[in-house]
Amino acid sequence: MATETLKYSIISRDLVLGEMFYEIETIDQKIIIRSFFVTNQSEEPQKDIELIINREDLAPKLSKKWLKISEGEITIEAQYSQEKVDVILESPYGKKETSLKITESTFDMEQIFFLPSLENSGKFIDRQFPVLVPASGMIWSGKILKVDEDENSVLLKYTLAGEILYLQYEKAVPYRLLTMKAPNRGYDLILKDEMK
Amino acid sequence: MNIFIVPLITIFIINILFYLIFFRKKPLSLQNWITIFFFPFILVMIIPYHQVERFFLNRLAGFLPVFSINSILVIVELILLSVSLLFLLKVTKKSGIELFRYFLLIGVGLGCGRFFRNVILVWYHPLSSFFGYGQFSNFITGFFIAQEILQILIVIVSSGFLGIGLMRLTKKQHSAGIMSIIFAFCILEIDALVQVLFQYVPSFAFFSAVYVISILPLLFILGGVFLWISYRRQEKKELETKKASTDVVSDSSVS
Repeated sequence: MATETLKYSIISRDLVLGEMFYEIETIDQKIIIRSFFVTNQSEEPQKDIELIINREDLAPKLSKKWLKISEGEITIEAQYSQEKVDVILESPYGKKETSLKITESTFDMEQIFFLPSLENSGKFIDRQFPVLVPASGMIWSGKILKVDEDENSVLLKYTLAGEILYLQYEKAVPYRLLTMKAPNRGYDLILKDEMK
Repeated sequence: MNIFIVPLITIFIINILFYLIFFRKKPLSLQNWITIFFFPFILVMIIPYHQVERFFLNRLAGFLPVFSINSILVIVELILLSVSLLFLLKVTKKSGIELFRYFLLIGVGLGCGRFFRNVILVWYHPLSSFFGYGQFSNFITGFFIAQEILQILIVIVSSGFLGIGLMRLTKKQHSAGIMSIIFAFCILEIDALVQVLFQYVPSFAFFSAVYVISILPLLFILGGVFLWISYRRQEKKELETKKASTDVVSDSSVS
């Protein structure tokens, strides 16, 4: 069993808005990723995601996301099995459930940021793959393109459902995500430090 | 089935109010009403709008491409309105500015069809109806209904402008006609632009908070005022033309 915690600064227009934490835990054949964040307004950590991935083939097993809205909390859970995924959305307005057919290569939206370190191959190739966005219960086509690289890092352009993200990774093991720039979201994540 | 009651009641009330405001003095037969209302209503429902949006969003990303997709969809809606307006000319024997109320009825039909399509998508789509640039919505709430009603009003205004524009073109008032068609496009395009701005440009994110309570009502009020001015001008012009032609006829009969 090994646990690694990555700490990122949440930055918008050169202002630090808070911190995002990713806890990556490896137990036998499972990798569990949990994230939570603190903002300058509230010191209380807020739950963000929990993701369970099969270590061998990187297939997602379970994904859970928490969203706070003025009326309460929304939870979106995706339970993956071999050929389908059950998505359950619970909100103050009610509950909705759906089942979708998936292919073997379908990733969960939340696991994409960790793909290079999970694959551990050091190959940052251009590719396209199906991605489930649990909040909308839809499978989209995610696209990754290598746009730049230097001695220590690689910059990838990741597009999904009309949105663009720029992901910068370490070129060496463990291929950590160094920065995530989200021009459409208005905030960036920058790796602060790593706690073991 | 209960899930459709609120949207269906909303559509029914909109029709009643519209009838009372525009058709109370010069009524329209129920059969004609149903024909004119349901033609654009069905037309907008059968176009695979969301599939088109999804096809493009799987290939393009970022503010400008998404705005372009949005603009294409606005043009598709204007084409649907134009087809409905041409269909209207076949159904009714009216002509000239008398058709104005019918142009608005076409807008009611298309707006209500769009609303009903969105309601169906909210309930029949796995989890939510809106993706890409559309507003995120998983459940039919009062806020959702308010937004849809305001969007119906905007489609009505756009349909009014388009009708006047096409009518002006047939009367060889080319520049005024083109201007009206541009207005018809602009009112839908501004709504589309605002939605893309608050989703894709972070500095405009605050628009999402004022979209339903300020931007949509303002767009409707401004569009409505300009439409009313256009209508009055066209009415005046037609009266002058009629008067001039009557004068010519009476002059020639005297001589």
